[in-house]
Amino acid sequence: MSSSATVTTLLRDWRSGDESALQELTPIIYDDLRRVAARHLQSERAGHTLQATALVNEAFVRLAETDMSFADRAHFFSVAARTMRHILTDYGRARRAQKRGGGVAPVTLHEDSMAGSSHVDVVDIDDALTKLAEIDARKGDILVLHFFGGMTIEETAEALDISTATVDRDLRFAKAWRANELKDH
Amino acid sequence: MNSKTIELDAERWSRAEDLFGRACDLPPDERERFLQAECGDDTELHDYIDNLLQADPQLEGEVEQTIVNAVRDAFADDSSQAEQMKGQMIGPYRVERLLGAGGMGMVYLAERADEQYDQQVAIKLGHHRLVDPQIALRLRNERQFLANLDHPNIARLLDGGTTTDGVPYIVMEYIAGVRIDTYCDLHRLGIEVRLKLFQSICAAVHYAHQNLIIHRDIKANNILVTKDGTPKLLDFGIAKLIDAEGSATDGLTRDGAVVMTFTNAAPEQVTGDSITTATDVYGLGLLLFKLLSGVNAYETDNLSPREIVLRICADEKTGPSRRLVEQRKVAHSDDDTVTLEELNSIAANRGISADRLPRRLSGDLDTIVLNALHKEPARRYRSAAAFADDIGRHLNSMPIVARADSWGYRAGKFVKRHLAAVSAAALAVVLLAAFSVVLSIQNRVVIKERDTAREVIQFLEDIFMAHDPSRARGADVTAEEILAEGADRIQSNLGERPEIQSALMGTIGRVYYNLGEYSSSEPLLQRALKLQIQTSGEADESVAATKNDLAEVLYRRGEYERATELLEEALAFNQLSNDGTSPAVATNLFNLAIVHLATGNLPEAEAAARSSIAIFMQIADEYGLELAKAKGSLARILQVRGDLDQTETLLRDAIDTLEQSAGADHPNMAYYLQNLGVLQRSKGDLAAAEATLQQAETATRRILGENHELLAITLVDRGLVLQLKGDYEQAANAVRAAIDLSLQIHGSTHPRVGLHKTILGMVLHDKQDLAEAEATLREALTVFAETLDDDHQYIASALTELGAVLNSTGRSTEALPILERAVEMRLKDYPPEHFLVAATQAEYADTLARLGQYDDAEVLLRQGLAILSDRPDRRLRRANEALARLQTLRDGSDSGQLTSD
Repeated sequence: MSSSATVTTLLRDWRSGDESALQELTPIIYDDLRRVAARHLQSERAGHTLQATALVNEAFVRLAETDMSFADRAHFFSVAARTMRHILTDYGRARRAQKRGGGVAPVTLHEDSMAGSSHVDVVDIDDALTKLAEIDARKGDILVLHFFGGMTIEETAEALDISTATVDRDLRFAKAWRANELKDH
Repeated sequence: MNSKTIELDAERWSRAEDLFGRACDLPPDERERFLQAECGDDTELHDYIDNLLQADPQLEGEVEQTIVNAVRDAFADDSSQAEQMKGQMIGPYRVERLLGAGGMGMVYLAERADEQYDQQVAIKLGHHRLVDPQIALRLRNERQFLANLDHPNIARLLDGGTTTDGVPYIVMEYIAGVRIDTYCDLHRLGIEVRLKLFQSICAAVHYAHQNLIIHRDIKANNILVTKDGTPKLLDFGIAKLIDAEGSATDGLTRDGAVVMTFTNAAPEQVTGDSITTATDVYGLGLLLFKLLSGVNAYETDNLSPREIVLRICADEKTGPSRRLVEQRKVAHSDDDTVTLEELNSIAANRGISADRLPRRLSGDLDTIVLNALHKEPARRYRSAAAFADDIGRHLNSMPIVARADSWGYRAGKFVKRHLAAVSAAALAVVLLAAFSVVLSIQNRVVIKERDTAREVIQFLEDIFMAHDPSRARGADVTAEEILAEGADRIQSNLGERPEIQSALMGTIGRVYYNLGEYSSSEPLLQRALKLQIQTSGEADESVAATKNDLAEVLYRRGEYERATELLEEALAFNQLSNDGTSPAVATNLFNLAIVHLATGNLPEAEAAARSSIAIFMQIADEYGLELAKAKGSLARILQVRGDLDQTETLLRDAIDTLEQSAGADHPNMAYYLQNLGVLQRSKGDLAAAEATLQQAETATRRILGENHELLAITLVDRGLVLQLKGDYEQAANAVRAAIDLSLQIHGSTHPRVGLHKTILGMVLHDKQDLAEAEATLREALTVFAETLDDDHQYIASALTELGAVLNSTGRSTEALPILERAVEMRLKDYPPEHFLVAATQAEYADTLARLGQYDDAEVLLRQGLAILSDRPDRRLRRANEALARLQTLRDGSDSGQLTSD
């Protein structure tokens, strides 16, 4: 287990340009997200809604030091958001592979399609984000932070070192763009 | 036209963005007009932005919902399934609750619904539906095969089949127990009990192997211990049964679920090579690793599958003891109290202190575990039974069969790895010292001693591993740091094995001595000695050896009395137990001579040195270097006794012996030549002295380098010879060079710098550069004021010369109080007849004479000359000059008186 001191230090290292700090930070957050989720799942009824952003928030509360600066906080959320994206996308890909696997239908002991649910899955979202990042990296980042990290506009601005007005504008455009990308799925 | 996606270059993208943003800010009914105006003919852009504006906000919500679902599924796939399974029927069994989930599927607690037997069972349900009846048939056969396994430590396979959906399941004996690692910790089982428990698991695995069944997935998860303490292996051969797709299609399906089980996979499972009983031996090795150390053989939690594969397949696995040490190191460096707590509780759960746990695991147990974890299956224990047998040997204190890689091999590898970061020479000292302990232990054939040697090796490795520069993030590691670490750990980790503790303490104490760290060396040697006496009694060879070494340290620290005592004790023992001519006796005598020399006990010093030389002469083939040193010491004794001719003979002899035994590049060569030069100077043989000192200077540069203190000293000595010859120009140059060097070596605030400046002041005085001489002497006094006590004799020397310079410049009233103080300082430390008192008094007398107090001056000068007359040096010359001046002045004043009369 890693302490919050490590998380803060790693965040600062990362902000000051040490990419390896990010590599150390990600698994810490990854683990904690899993732990938070596992605890929720043990104690709550099935069907309970687990919000990605809520998990990230709780991980933050667990890992962060009380005196963490606003900038550190913003960077924590941005790492957590990326991590969350990877967890979900990995899972989504595994599910897809399972669906395709050997022509054998998946066990449907429970049906996870919900009323009103679209055909869009998390891998589609990931692909759209990847595509957006290729065209406009900043907007791609903003969407990841917003959807997977639950970051506010202010936090996003801090994490990416841009103005809140820019975040606001970018987010509006990026959302529209992504909805457009996904609509024919 | 489908304008959902269009080619947008950077320019058009930002244009689209801009238009979209502005359009958004307009009321919806004005947007179309705005877009038409802005886009003009570019209908593609127009349509694209229109699309974005129309983008369904409903879809946005859907995206969020998709993410929510994905979160639930990704984190909760298993649990939600379990909820739905409750009360459902699998074959004739009704599901009660989820027991656990693994890579292969879910395990449920179930009960026979017909209540034919009141039996609880565990049901393992696969992931996939079976479609091929052929496979279903084959699985049934294999199930039957497994059901035949009947062993008290293996959970029985009871039944199996496919659900109505066609999903395969198997039914097993339900074991109400806890995971083996949890069980061990709950009951705080010590290492030995854990080993015995593990042996029974080995027996079960071996039984299955004899029935041609391989487990493939041995891990703590799969071993439960019941209330009565019986371990039960679950899931024998199940991997193959349940992973129907896997067995049908050859190889592991590498979707998320199966990747998770990589953590416990053997290298051949990862690479797809054939799986044999050796695969289970590997699994047992990982299990034992965890049971003993509380940590995994390697962490895979945060690694990508590719990294996990690399880690599993790397053959450089760390033994459990070293892994613990590493963990502790990390815990320390990050000040991570949680991890430290965890480490402490790991140890507490084994009924041992956190310091001692790694030591308990080092040696045999490391070797045993690592032998099961070889990358090549063929190098592992050939069977689970052989694995258990070796553990049995360890428990019975018999030599184990498994062999660690040889020390030499590992040491070599270590040196190669760390050459860049650790000073090679310093490391070599440590390694050689350590190696000598190992060798001396290995030379004795007793099994226990060999174990000791292995423990020593492991211990040293732990220290070196802890200093792996890559772990220290590139920080340089000095030999001193390694030593300090080692000394700490010897204190804390080796309490149970005093013979190893004392051997290593002695070794590190000696290395410290060689590094000149006497204050660190002494306590280690003291403790080593105490331990040795406790275990072996006073009359013991190693006790005598440690006494000798401790005496050397005490001598360096100025504790002559205690050093003499220890040497005499060691000598008495060695003379009794040997024929009186052993190297140990000669060494004791040699050291005794040096201590006697230091205490001024010259006759005994000479006798001891001569006895030492006599013994070394007999074994000169092997002990040529020691012989040379003994001769060198005797020369010094004779020099102090005043027998300069014999001294010179002996020094030349020592130089010859040294050259023959150790070559011309031995560091002592530089010292002997310097001594010889100084000797020749004091004999007044200035030409020979200059030549020898020149030779000494060259030798020092070659052997000890351009930055060595001895070079500065030799330069000063040559300067003093040149001064005596009257070559003040060259003398000043030599001393200036020495000052530059001293500044480099010691920095500006070191007494040696002041001392050399004092000498330069004398040379400049002789050279009649009076202003510069005065300035230089005042600089010297400034240095001394910062570095020495007020009454230090160096200060008296500088004051004496300053007074003399002031006299020469005609400022005798200024000189008077300075020289009064100098005389006072001299008399504090020396008797009145000492030549230094005499020399300072002579300068004082010179002042008095210059101030007209002729009678007082003459009395003092004549006293001084009587003392100085047998030392034909500058002091005598200056006193004679002062007397001549006194007479001239008195004559002048007498004649003045006459004329005035």
